[in-house]
Amino acid sequence: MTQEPKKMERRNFIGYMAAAIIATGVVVGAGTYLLKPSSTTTSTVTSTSTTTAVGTGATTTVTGPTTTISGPTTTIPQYVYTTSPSTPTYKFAWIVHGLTDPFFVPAIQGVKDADAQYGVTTDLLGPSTNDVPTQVNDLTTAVAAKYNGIACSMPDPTAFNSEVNAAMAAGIPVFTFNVDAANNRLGYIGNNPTVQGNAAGNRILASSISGVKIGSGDRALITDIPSVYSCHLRALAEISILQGAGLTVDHITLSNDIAPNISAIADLVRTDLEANPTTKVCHGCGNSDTSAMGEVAQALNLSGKIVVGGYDLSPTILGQIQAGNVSWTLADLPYLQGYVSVMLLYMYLQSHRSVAADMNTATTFVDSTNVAGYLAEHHYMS
Amino acid sequence: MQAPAHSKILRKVWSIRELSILIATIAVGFFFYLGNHIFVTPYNLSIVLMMSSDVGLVAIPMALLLISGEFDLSVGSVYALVPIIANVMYKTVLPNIWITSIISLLMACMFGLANGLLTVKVGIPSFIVTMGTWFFFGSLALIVSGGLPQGIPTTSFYNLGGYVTISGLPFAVEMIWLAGTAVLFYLILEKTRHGNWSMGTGSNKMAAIMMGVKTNRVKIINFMLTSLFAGLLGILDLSRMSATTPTQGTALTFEAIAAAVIGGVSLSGGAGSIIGTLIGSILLGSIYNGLILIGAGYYWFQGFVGAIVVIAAVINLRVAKARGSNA
Repeated sequence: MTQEPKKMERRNFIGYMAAAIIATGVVVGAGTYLLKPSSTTTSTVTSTSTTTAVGTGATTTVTGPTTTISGPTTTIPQYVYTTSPSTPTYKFAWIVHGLTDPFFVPAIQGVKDADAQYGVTTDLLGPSTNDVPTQVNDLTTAVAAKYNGIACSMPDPTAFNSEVNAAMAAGIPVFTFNVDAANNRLGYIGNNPTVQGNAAGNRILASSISGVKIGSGDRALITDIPSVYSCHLRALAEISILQGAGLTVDHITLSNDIAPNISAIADLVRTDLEANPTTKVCHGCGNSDTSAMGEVAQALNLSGKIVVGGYDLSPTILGQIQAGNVSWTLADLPYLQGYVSVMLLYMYLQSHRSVAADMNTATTFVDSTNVAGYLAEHHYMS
Repeated sequence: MQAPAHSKILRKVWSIRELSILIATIAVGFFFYLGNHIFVTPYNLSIVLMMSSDVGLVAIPMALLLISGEFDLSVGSVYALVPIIANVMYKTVLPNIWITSIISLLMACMFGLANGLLTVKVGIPSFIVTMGTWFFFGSLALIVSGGLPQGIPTTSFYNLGGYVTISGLPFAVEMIWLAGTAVLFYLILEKTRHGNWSMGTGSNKMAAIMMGVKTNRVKIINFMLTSLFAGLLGILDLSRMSATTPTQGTALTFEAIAAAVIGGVSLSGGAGSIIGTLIGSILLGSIYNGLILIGAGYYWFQGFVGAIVVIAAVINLRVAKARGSNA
């Protein structure tokens, strides 16, 4: 056997290895270059000096309707700032359980607005759809990456606890938003889903169709998404209120893969309503199912014949309210969940780690009386 | 004339099948280090290995199954279902999470047995069988759990898959499981008759049968091992997070297959490497971790994995051809 074939084999092998390295390097290097976060800018604030004249008196004499105060005046000088006090360029992680969920579009806008306001950078992390182990891994990596602060939704009551403890022990403040868990996090920005569910149930009982109040014997259809704990708690609270008032309550349970699919949910709801034409109430527990119910109400021309309600803000739901197909939605105010989570992280660090708070993003009903204002707000329209 | 010693060593190094994937993994690590120096800190590397375990524990048995010429798409659903069964049994009939975990792992073996029997005895392609069982087991996970996340109190069970602290650094116990799994399956593939038969079954089933290889038994055993380790990963994650959800593992199936392909396993069967699959798992874990460190996030992960899978498959094909043409 001559040397030639072995040399060729070696050359080929070197070539293939080189190709592997170069190809991998180009892909990763380009991605690293393109995806490196941009530098942050800090904003400057200029204020001008003012003087305030204040009068003080050693005595106050009151005679009849006139009050006379006499004494020397004192001028209090104000300091002049030409720039805001310098702050470090903080880098935060915002980890959510469904980056592609339409509900979080305004929330992400809120994060970006807060970044611009406070001169910080916030990286958006999390799985596309609800996947707790993946999200826990994201939180673990965020702790290792030594972010200055972390905001994380926690759709599981216990899975995130050890990572939150690790973050707090490492000096990284953690706030939760949208879905809370009982652990060492500093604060929660969001709603109490049980309170929301109770409010929705009571609103249903206060509603009427053609002058006849909703009440005992009427049928209600509720959707539930057990894999999203906040949605599940809302549904449980509504069901409890309605059953307590004597309504017949049936519910459709939506799995994780179907939960974001408005069209598929609409098919399920339509099938149910066509099989149960005496249904008086249709209530969702989240964004997609509320949108689906509005779509079905429109398709079956049920406006004024059935009470349709739900949760969350989206252009679709707001449009359905304006069109009269959906009676109301409970605004979870996702924009605030994004904005305030960044704001609280910033405030916590700027206050030398002393200011932390919860924020209830309110149980506000959006209906035909106030939907116009929400439609005009840019951050509710994705 | 004898070749010089150094060229003998070089020839030996170049003949290492996993060399290209190893170099690629190091290159990827280097580039993420350039993006964020934290990548190579001991703490972060321990997290990379933990993330690699989440794929590797399923990818390695999957590699053996792929080498024997079959697929299993149901591993993601088995990963979700098994810890839910363990947890529900623990809360209802048997208040000992260790025993319920063992019982549920035995059930995982039965799931694999079902996959294997349907494939080899009924004759349905494994792609179809396991796609059906993927839906079926996923549905079972939702039914048994009621769609709700499941939690357990943190007890000594945490030590099964949780973290231990060594020299002040947290190490996920899963990493030890990954190392043990890699050693076990390396020995199976390289040193046992079953491994040899797996290779023969995958490369030429008819020839293997003629040589007396029990190909059906080989495949059934490999299906059972794949399901067993998918269930084991679910139990370990239950231990680590004290929680499990019925909808987890949606991407696990394809990540496991991707790790095996990146590591040099041929999808047509008959060729592959456990060490390569292990390195492929580490590569995936590095990419996922590194993308977060540079602020890129989850969306880019699938893109990078897809690109690297295709590149790896092309390279492996070329290398195999080059080796084959010079035999």
